[in-house]
Amino acid sequence: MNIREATLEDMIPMQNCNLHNLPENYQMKYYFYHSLTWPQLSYVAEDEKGRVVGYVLAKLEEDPAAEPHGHITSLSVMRTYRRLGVAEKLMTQSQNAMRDVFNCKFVSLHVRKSNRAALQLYRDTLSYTVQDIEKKYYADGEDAYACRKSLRE
Amino acid sequence: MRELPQKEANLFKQILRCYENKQYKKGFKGAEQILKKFPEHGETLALKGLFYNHLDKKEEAYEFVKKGLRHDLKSHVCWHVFGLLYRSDKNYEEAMKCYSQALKIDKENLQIMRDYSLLQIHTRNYEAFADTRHQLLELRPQNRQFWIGLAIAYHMMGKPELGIKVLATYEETLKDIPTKPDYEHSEMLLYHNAMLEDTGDIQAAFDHLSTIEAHVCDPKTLKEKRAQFLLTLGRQEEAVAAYRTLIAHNPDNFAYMDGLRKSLGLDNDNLTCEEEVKVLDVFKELQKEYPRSNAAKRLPLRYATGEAFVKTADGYLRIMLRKGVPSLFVNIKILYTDKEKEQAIEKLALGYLAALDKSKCFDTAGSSIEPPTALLWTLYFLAQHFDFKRDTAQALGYINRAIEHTPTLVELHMTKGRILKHAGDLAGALDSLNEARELDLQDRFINSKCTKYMLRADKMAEAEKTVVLFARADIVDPLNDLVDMQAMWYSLEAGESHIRQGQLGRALKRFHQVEKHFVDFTEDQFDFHMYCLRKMTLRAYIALLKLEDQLRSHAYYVRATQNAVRCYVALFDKPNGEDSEEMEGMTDAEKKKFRNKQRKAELKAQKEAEEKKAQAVLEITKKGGKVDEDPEGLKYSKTEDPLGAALKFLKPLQELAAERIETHLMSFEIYIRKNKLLLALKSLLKSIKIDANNATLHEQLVRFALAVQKAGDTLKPAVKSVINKHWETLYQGKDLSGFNAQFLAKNKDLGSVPHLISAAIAVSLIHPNDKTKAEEILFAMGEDKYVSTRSLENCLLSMKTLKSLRSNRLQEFKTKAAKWYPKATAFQS
Amino acid sequence: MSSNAIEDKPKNAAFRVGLGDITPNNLGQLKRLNTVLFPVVYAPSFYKEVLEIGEFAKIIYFNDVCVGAVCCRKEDADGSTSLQNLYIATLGVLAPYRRLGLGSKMLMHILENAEQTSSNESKIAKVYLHVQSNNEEALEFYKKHGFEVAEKCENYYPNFEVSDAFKLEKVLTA
Repeated sequence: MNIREATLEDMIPMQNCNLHNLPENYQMKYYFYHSLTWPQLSYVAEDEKGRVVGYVLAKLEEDPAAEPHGHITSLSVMRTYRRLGVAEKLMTQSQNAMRDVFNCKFVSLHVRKSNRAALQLYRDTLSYTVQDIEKKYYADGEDAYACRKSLRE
Repeated sequence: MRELPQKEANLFKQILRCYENKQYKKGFKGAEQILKKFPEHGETLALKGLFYNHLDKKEEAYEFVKKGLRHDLKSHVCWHVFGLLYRSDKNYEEAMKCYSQALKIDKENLQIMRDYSLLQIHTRNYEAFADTRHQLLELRPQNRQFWIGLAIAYHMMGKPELGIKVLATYEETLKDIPTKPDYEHSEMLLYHNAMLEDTGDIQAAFDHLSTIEAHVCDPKTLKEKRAQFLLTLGRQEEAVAAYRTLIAHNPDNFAYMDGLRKSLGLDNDNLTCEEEVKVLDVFKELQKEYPRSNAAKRLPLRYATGEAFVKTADGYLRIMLRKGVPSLFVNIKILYTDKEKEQAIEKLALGYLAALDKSKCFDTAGSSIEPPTALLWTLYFLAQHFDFKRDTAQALGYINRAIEHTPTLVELHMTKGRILKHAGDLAGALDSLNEARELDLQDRFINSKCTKYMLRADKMAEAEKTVVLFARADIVDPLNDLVDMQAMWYSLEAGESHIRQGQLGRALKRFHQVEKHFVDFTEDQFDFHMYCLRKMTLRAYIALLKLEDQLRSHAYYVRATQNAVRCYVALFDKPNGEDSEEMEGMTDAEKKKFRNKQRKAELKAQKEAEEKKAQAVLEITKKGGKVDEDPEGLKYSKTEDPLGAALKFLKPLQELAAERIETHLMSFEIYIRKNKLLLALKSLLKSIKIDANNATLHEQLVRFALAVQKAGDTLKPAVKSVINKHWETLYQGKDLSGFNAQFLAKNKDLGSVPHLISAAIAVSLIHPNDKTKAEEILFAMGEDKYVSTRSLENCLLSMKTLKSLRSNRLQEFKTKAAKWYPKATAFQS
Repeated sequence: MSSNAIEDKPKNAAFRVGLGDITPNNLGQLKRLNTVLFPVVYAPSFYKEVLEIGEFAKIIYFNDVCVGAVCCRKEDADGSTSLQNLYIATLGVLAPYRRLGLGSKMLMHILENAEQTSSNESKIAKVYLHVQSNNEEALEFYKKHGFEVAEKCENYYPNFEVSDAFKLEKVLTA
């Protein structure tokens, strides 16, 4: 599995991967927006044939009141490509870029309350901590865990 | 009259501000207030029109803008507003004319110039874009964006050296270079470097890199570029070190490992034995240093051969089987292009199975006892391996054993479904996928796969029910949401299913959805022209422009086009409805009866559907959703000019995918029906250039000759003479029977079923009253040499051909095919 | 019922074991397991209860593959309103994964949770279950975990060749 920075050409396959895997979907323009604003922060995993089988779509949270920090918009790995540590590797690269390029002090993300598998990944494998529960964060009314991880060395 | 009295003049300024701040309703009221006193004030009338436009009143918008213009033809505001209106309707040609008019009146209006330049770059009018950008810079040389804009213009015109000059000049004017790395400045410097690289002067780019280093805050790009330049400049030792540093940051990147290998001078297509040993040693070292790197483990399999391959593969397979990596097979099957590697892997895997069965170890030496999952994943691997070889019986044997071992594992049922799909048992495949889905209802991936299998089995209602299970609770119309979210995979699969069911309107509707998504992707870039200049993400912006220019060569667009052309051509051939697949080979009387029956069923279904729809419409409108006015896609199926519509779909590919033979094969199908023989000829000549021995091309050549024959003396002499000029290239001096015989002889040893099908169709066209010859040619596929291309797909195509010939030997063929594909439902009587 | 849990870890083989909740989303896996493990068809009401009983119904994962499950139900203890009994309806592991300690892990989880009922719940007085009378291995397994034979139930499994069963129970001290 090849782990590399995402390019604009990856956006259609990334969207396709997202649509297959996750209930939270976005239009292409939103992918373009990520890649054209913070080109260093998104990563893809591709297989031997160069097909995108996993991705992390990430951004800088532009909140002047807080320290600079990154935010994971979406992370997904095709089911058949699990157990290779791909998600973790994608996240590590994205987090490093947040720290190195944008001087981010921490990174945040949201997890659906019902998505125990994802929570497990973030909390246990990637050592995120749950900061808060955001009531009705999702459009369908579900609560979200707001998670965070420090990027200070 | 343009000048307004003080009070109204102030109000006018206010409404201009309203427009900029998107307060359209407020602006509209202000405009009306002015117009009450001065009903013929052109600029206010035009603005009122613009507000109408933003309040979704198109007709009024055009009416008022035009009216405004009529009252004040000399106002740049009116022309600018007209341009904005056209732009919002994506009529860029007209918009540009308006801007140009406005600029004639007000030569130095920055706002208009800037808007003009956006359209110029959007329509890829680089020369004009550069002109406008040049003027902007001259007017405001202190503005960073104007410098950058001009540099981009030169870059896109293919003159990076001019772009570099512009940037360099700008950089010199900068008095205070940020002391701390600043992202925007950093991106500009990296863009400067990228342009240098584009000139091909790598030494210059390399030198430049070290001068900007302190001001760049993207260390990874710096390191990547440095390594890449060192390698190109032949400074191998330094390149090795540079790539090693990169690998330390990301030991799962193929490009870095390739870079390291090349820097070490191990870059031949055919490595010598000595070099192979060296490469493998490099990877062994990397594996030790980065034990968690998959790339370091996987890449050596590319380079190892013979005994070394067996040893490397053995180590790799054991690790992955022990760990239980579901993607193991998918990950290595690309190696199977090398038969020796395929056999080695098969031998290894069968060896593991035997040893695991006997002693729970991977080998008889019995060094370590493996967990029970090792046996499970080995069985899973073997099932995929034999499925790849289309050995259905063995594949099913292994997957069933695996399921018996651990029936709860989702992947096993998915693979069983895949095996059955390959074997032609779509219903069985679907059952397996559904079992997989029911084991894990939270995973959208398996839900999507299951939906796909439902569509493949033409179970539309089930598919729709399944795919919406993952729609968010707040979505009013989840099926439509899939379209809004641009789920092209679903549109394509659904459309293809509609074709199989003879519902061409519905199918076309799906393919036009895909086309619309591509239109939107192109439109999406508009806002980024200005945005990227502001954000200074210039390298990404250039990538966007390049991507947009060849967007439609994307596989999804190609697939949508192929299907749409197929539908439109069928609509042209049979305007009263395409035969569904079950109707193939029926006599006209049978067809009529079948159609009547179908129509009755349809009417009944329609009535039910309408009742249901009325209910649904009520519900959807209640929740504020949109109602589909044309679910049948009549807009497409009832088109007056199906071939014109097909051509419109195909056009982008003629420009962007001219290297693909499919493009020209499709073009031919359209032109021959339009009776445009010269264009058909042109398509044939292009196809010949790409692959003169293409199977479909042969059939098209024969059809072309027959069309020319039929046209006979009605052909214009000029056309005739062009065709004659190329006749020799097309048919090598043979008559059609001879030409077909030559094609058969030439491909005698190729063992290709598609070539047989094409020759059979050709012969049936040449001798319409004698189908025995065509049948004879087709039945040759039973010979051993055809085994590798006797795929399920090709067998189905052969059957379709026999049906269209109304062959009496159809049953005989089915019996044969059923022996090759015992699970395939299509061949069962 | 079928369960073997003699500690006999194979040498060198590293593996991960974990317990997971039963949810509407993975209920299909439990149904699959039960079809393979037990000759009884469970009614929808059984699965409905399973989803509501929290820690007393679990799936066990071996290297992330679901290979076994335990399901209990609570019953009011005789003559008491504040005490309950816990009945282990099913506890089983797929054949290839037996003798790896998975059954023990599940049973221990149940016993631990039975002892720690929170204040707003009724206390659990005893845990009990039935085992086919000829299932030596299972008998030994439960005895090892402190269960005792309470009675022999004749013809408890009327449709099976060996129809007698032992009722095993463990009284919780608290």
